[in-house]
Parts: sequence; C-alpha cells; structure tokens
Amino acid sequence: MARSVDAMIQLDKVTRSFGNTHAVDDVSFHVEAGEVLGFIGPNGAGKTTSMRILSTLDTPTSGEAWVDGFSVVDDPDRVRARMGWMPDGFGTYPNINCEEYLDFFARSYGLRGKNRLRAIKNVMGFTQLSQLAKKPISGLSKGMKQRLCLGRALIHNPKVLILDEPAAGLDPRARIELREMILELANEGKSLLISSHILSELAEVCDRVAIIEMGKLLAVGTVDSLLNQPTDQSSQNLTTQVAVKFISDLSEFLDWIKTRDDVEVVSSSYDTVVISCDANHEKQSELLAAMMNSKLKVFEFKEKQNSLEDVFLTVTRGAVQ
Amino acid sequence: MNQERSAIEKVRLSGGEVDSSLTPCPNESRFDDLMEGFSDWFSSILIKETRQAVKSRQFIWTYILQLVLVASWTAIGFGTLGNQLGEGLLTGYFIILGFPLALIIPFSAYRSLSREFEDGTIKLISITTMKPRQIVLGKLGSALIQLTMYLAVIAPCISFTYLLQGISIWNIMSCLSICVGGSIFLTILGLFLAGSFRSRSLGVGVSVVFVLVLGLVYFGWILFVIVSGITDLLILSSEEYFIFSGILFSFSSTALILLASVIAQISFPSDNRSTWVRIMMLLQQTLFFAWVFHILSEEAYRNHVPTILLMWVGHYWLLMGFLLCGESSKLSRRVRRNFPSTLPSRLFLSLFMPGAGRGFLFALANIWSAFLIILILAIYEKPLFDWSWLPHSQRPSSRLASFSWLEEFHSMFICMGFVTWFLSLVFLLNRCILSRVCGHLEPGYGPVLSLVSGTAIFAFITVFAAIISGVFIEPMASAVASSFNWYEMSFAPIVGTQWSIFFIVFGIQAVIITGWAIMLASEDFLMGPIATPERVLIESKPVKINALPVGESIDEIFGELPSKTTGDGTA
Ligand SMILES: Nc1ncnc2c1ncn2[C@@H]1O[C@H](COP(=O)(O)OP(=O)(O)O)[C@@H](O)[C@H]1O
Ligand SMILES: [Mg+2]
Repeated sequence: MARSVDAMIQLDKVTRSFGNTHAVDDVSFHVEAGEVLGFIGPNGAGKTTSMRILSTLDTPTSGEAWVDGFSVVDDPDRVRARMGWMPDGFGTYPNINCEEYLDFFARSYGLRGKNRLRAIKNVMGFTQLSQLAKKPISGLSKGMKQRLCLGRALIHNPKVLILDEPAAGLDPRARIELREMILELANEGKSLLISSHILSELAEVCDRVAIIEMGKLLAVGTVDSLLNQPTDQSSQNLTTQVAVKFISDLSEFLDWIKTRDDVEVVSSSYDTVVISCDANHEKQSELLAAMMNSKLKVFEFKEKQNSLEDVFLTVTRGAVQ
Repeated sequence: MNQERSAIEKVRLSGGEVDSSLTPCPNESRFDDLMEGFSDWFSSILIKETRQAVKSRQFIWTYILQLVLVASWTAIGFGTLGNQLGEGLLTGYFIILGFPLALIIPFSAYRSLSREFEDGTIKLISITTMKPRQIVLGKLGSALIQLTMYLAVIAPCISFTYLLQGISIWNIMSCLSICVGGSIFLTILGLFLAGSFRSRSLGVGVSVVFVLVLGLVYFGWILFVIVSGITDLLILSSEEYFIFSGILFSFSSTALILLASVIAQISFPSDNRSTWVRIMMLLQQTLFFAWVFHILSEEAYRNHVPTILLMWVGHYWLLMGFLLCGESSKLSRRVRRNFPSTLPSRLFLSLFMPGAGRGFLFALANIWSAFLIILILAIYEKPLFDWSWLPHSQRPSSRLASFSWLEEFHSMFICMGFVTWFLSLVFLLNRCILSRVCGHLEPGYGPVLSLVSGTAIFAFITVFAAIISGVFIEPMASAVASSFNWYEMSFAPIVGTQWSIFFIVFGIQAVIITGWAIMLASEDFLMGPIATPERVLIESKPVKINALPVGESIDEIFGELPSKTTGDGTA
C-alpha cells in the first residue's frame, strides 16, 4: 500500500463503477497539510463521486483512499472526526434556524457543553452568520446558505475539508468572501480539496490543481506548471488567438481578413475581432504591420493569454479519447 | 477587497478568543446553563426534532385539537352519559388519544426519516460521528417525546375517571399500555419502511399504503374499544391470555428485528450489518420457546403439536434463512478485524458474523436446536409437566397428551430436513450463480434477491409436487411427486412403498446437496481476524470528542449486552 505518511488526503488507484460506467477510474493523488488542491473537471467527470468516497458516503469499487492516514473504508468513524464535507446540494430542515442547525451538528459530532457553545460561536463568527443566528434557514439567500453549509462542515474543527463546487451559483461578492475564507482555512493548516468545473474560479486559491475528465485523472500540478505546459509543446506552427480592436468599419476589416490565408476569424463584435493566427511573435508583428499598411485603424492588438480555460480545454481534449 | 470583511468578524476558528461583547452570548442565566448541560445527555436528533415539532403547525394543531376534543367530550359526557359516565368518558378519551398515537406519531416518524433521504440530509448526519444506531434511536426517542406530550393532555382526564365508579386501575393501565405499545410498534414499522424504500417514486406509494394501514389500525382500535368495552378489557380467560401473551411476544420481538434491520440499512457498507439482526432473530426464537413452554402448562397438548410448532419454526427460518443466504460473502477488512480470535470463541461467535456461509449455518443451527428443544420437551414432558413439584392444589388440571415417539419424531425430522434442504438449495444458488451473475449489484440487494428467488423455488417445488401428485393416478409417479411435498411427507404415515421411493428419489439428492452446501459454508466458518493497522491501534479511542461506546467489534457488542438494556444512544 503506497501511502505517504504526511499526506492528509490520499487516493490510490481509486475506481468506482456503476454497472459499466466508470465514474472514477484509477485516480491517484494526494493533498498535504495546509495545501489547497483544486479538483477541476467538466460536469459528470467524477468529482462528486471521488469526494463522496473521501467523505465516507460511498466506497470505492477498487483502490484505496486515506484521510490523515486512516482508510476511508476501514475506519470511516476516524475519518469522519477529521473531515468536513460540503456537498454541492444543500439539504435543510423545516422549522429550524441557523443557530439550531449548527447546534444540531455540533451535538452530532459529539461536542458537549462549553466546547459546543464555543464551536458554534467561532463558526458563526468565521462565516459571518452571527447576525443571522435566529433566522430560519428557509429565508436565507444562496450565499448565506453556502456560508452556513461551510460553517456546518467546520463545526468540529476538522483537519481536512472537502468542498464540492462551493462557488457554483454565487455572486461575485460572495465568491470573494468564499475565497478569503478558503485562504484563511489553509493558513490555519487545514487541507482543502475543492472541486469546480471552472478552473479560473480556483486558480488564485489553489496551490495545485488536479484535472479530471470521464473519471480519469489527466494532470496534477501547480497552476503555473499547467499554464506553461501547452506552450512548451507548441514549438512549431501552432496558432494562437489575437483580439484586435479597431475603429474602422467591421465589414471593411473582415473583408481585409478574407484576403489573408494565414488568418481566420474566430469571433467578431462591432469593434473587436478575435482572429486565430500564427503563434510566432515575428509573424504576428508582420501581420500588424500589414494591417497598418492597409489603413485599418487598429488601436489594440493583443494576444490572448494562454488562459486557464484554454489550458483546461487543451488538457481535457488531448487525453481522453 | 479585504475591507469587505468587517473587523468584528475576524475570528480565528481554532482556539481563537471571541470578543464576547460583539457576538451575542447564547445563554446568559444560570438556569440556561443548567439546561444546556442537561441537554448534553440527549441525542442531538431528539433535541433538534423536539425543537422542530414545537414550531411545526401540524403538531400545534393536533395538540390543540386534542385539547378541544377532550374538553368537549368531558362536557358532553357529563350531560348525556348518566350512570355510564365512567366507562363512557374513558372510551371517548381512548378514541381521542388513539388518533395521534396510531396515525400522527408513526407517520411523522416515517416522514421524518424518509425526508432525510429525499433531501439528502441523511448524508450530512451519517458523516458525523453519530452511529446509525443513535440516528434511529434518536428518531424513535423524539416520537416517544411527542407521545408523552399527547399523553400529558389526557392523563389528568383519565385519572379523573378512576374516581368514578366501575373503572379499575387495571382497566386503565392495560388499555394505556396497549395504546403506547401499539404506537411504538407502528413507529418502528414506519422507520423500517422509510429505511427500506428510499426512492422518491416508491416513497409516495409506500406512504399511501402506510397511511391506509395506520387508518385501519385506528379503525380497529375504535372498534375494539367500543365493542369489547373497557371494563371487560383484559380480564382474560386462560385461552385469551395465551393468545395475548403470544401476540405480545411476537410484536415486541418483531419490533426489535425491524429496529435492528433499519439500523443495519443505514450503516456504512463496510460496517458489520448482520450481528445485531442475528441476535434479534435468536431472541425472537428464544421468546417463542419461552412462550411455548409457558403455554404448555396451560393448554391441552394435542396430537401433532410438536410438528406444528416445528412447522412454524421451519417457515420462520426458511424466510430468515433465505435472507441470510443472500448476504455478501465478501467481507470488509473492517469486519474481518473484529472477528473472534480464539478458537473456542470462533466456534460460537462465528455464527453471528456477517457473510452468507455463516448466515446459512446460523439458520441451520437455529432450526436444529429448535428441533432438539421440542424433542426434549416432547419426550420429557411427563417429568417436566406432571407438576409433582407443585403443591396439589396448584397443579394444573390439564396434562400433555402422550407423545407418540416414533410418529412425531419422524414428522419432525422430515419437516426440519426439508427446511435444511431448501436452505441448502438457496445457499448454493446464491454462492454459485447469483453472486456471480449479479455481483455488480449493490450489496443491499443480495438478501432481497435471495429471498425472492428462494421463495419462488420453495413455492414452485411445493405447489408443483402437490399438483402432480394429485393429477397422476399412476401410483409410482404420484409417489415420486409427493416426495417433494413437504407438508404431505411430514404428516404421511410411515408405511408402504412411498417411503422407499422417498428415500431414493428425495433422500439421496438431499443428502448430497445439503452436504455440499455445508462443506462450502464451513470453509467460511473458521475464518479468523486480520491484523488491525498500527495507526488505528495507536489511536484506539481517538473519537474522544464523542464519548460514546463504539460497539462495533463482536466482543464489544456481546460485552455490551448485559449492561446496556435501553441503548438510547446517549449514554
Ligand atoms: N449513483 C449513481 N448511479 C449511476 N451512475 C452514477 C451515480 N453517481 C454518479 N454516476 C455517474 O458517474 C459519473 C460521474 O458523476 P459525478 O461524480 O457526479 O460527476 P461530477 O461531480 O464531476 O459532475 C456521471 O456519469 C454519473 O452519471
Ligand atoms: Mg458534481
């Protein structure tokens, strides 16, 4: 059993099949103490299934997983005491307010007396729910519910947190708050596994990301290493995308593009056209010079950064066939 | 962007001091403190659900309705009942009380568990450090609290009727205990249904059926109270007493089995889901024999009684055995770790460990010990039941009819033999075919599949044999067919060629099949434990924040038995 001693979360060749579908297929990775790992993949990739296994709701068909060195299959009770899980859905109870909700879970985790009161108070402070303590859950906004849900996952002060699509459906402000809370938790030495189907959502908070599609793990590494990865391979005649802004007429510009066979239009709006052209910067400057020469009033010519989404698309498209 | 978090809320999670001037302190007075401390003794589910109930409209309205009904009935009763006052009032009170007890409480318990599955909240609870047992008993506990609250309304009125003439305390207490016992049984049934039928689509059908059943029960209760008349209630003749005690035994032990199986159903896949269910089965069988022993002293012992008793035991273990044979043979390491380690403990305790092989042997062990018990009872009924050890005046008048050794013995033996044969067939079917073909199914389906196929095989063979032996006039064919008819063979007189045909046609293959099945099963039997990882041993009681009995190893479960009787999960 290949188990590294300090990894807080470790998966080793985990497979989970439902009949003939392999929801998770031979996935191995680990998360260390104080590390935030982004778990990225499109819908149906197997993120939730992997996380359910880690949170002792499901068992792998084969392979093994550990949380803080305890097997999720053999010692679920020990894993549970150390792990907080925030599901993608959010189930609530009728006729109950935030404080009672947290109180219920604090008791369920065996917190007693002063410990329980302190845990509730800390969590409500951390998630900024103190003012909402007596509010019925049914009256909360999506962002507040999300915070309450995070609070619930934190109530027993676990070392490991597993958050399933925590940012989905949040407004920008709630997203920023979430990001801050995640960073704060990581600073406290907790290990976090956070899933999303949007890489950019997580890039700033994650130390590393793991990319999964159709149950298969495609890449694991720091965001930077993944960003560099595709350009490393693109030595020869790879194309890139350039956004060109101009004040000329759109049709005039498009007509001009048609005369060039090294350029293709990707998308166009009234003052911006995204074109795909050679990745070579020499060639790009020649292209810009040609535009200028043709009296096209270009005021911005910008190569699109190798964006996280592109990386994601490149990685996922390349490997699963 | 950091300004968005106000300074007040900057609270560290772990060990950080909270500025108490800014966050409201949840409890200020000493009384509140005391109550908080007191509440730690109860299961979290109990507290949450009581809080919910107190706020829920449905509960408040039923409660008010009950108050209004009780008050109006008292007023009407005083106006109209005349010299029937005591009994009339009491009858009304019990009809009013029956409504929440028979309908509301069991159905809310059912809904409260099935909602957890629908809303996915069960996932959140089951990954806490609470045990499945605590979850189920918490639900049961909150039903009991509601029950107490309904009783509290009506108790003063009921005790008032005691002051009136014609009502004895015995009447009142027995009627109340039927009410409460019945309500608890129905509640457990509701929890069992909620645990067994989890999908939303099935759930709707099940809840309709359950409501209908509850309505019928309530209707029956009304009839019972009115027709039997409370004053006559439970002044039982000895025959009624024997029926009543039988009902009591079977309901209470069935409730325990249902409870154990709903707990097993919401347990983690690698948990030991079998041991408690088997203990409860054994308990039910033991209670059954206690009851048999008990009635033997009262009832005239008719002919064939040993065989009839064994037929009953046989059918019981046929069903239970089919379920047991369908258990998965693959054991989790978690279960294997807690296997009994020494050889003597293995000999006895292995039967209680999960797995189809051990389940099959457990059923066989029960059948044949029932056989032995009844045989001993039947043979030694004279010294046991001639009551010479009682003073003359107290000796019961009736005595057991003499046991005709040969006749009854062969019936009993054939009866048990058939059960063993059916179980062996189903065990082999599971081991050699079903577990391979349907291996990818979720483990929970195994017992159900086994029960369905086992019952089908059993019904097919029995019915087919009966039809063939009836249709064929030709004596040889008829005799061959009836060799497979359990009921016919058990009661057939041991004469004629039919028996030689039976031994050849049925006996030989039965011995082979049973032998094969037992051989396969006994491979599982002597399995020992596997080592527990060091990381786990070091932290042998790590879940200390949760100061609860762990109770997962077989030794712990058995160790727990004598001391923990109520097991309300909060101790
Ligand atoms: N209980 C289940 N039964 C059958 N298939 C399932 C079940 N749970 C998940 N799947 C399948 O497994 C795959 C992965 O699902 P999931 O882990 O939820 O993906 P993600 O969370 O990445 O969107 C999907 O194809 C889904 O249909
Ligand atoms: Mg998902």
